[in-house]
Amino acid sequence: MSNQSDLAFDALGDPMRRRIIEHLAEGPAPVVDIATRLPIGRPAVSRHLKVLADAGLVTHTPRGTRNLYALAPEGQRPLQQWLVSAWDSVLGSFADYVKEES
Amino acid sequence: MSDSATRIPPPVRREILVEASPGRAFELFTMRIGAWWPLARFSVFQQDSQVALEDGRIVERSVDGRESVWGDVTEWDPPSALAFSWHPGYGPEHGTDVRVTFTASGAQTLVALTHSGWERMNDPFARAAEYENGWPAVLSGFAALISGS
Repeated sequence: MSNQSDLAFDALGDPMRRRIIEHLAEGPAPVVDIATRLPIGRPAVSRHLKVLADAGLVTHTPRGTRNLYALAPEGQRPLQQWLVSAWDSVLGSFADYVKEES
Repeated sequence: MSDSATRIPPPVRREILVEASPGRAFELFTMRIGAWWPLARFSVFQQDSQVALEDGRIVERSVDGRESVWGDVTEWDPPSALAFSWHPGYGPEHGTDVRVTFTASGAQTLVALTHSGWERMNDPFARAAEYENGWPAVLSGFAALISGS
């Protein structure tokens, strides 16, 4: 499993971060807009956004004095990589079992 | 919406050679799934559960009696092909598609798996909220990224 897909996997393990992703699926937004829709403060939202950005799921661009956050165009790639490694593990486990049973 | 179409990921395709005939591989893959599936790493309940193929469904059961249907068999063509919907942690309306083929290769069998159908995964966040890891979380992420414009 690649490091990036590990990060994406961990990033999505948090329900609040999944809600932020869901929010951004509606369109790019600054931290303040996201925070008004969630039961957590702006510093907490910022921390979550950093985790999502480090995982390659979210990008940010400066817009005036603040950042505008958006879903990363290539954000599916780490998830795709996770699925590839997951199915490889599953098939590898199957092959091992077949060998034991032969 | 034109942008959302470009977000739909291509199918995931993986394959592996196993030491058995196609018939034997098909039988072990299906009827013995509970013996080889790596539940510790890939499951909905994440601990001490069991998985089985029964009545055309792939079902995981936790020790405390909860049940999660991962998918329904949609094609049963032994010894060459098997297909099932895939929605671990979700309702079947958000099912993706998995197809597995078994092809003789000398004394071995090539097992090829294709996972597709991401376009049907829209807005499953609420349904997946109780699962915080594993397949449901990753598929949730896919769904959100696909639905984003």
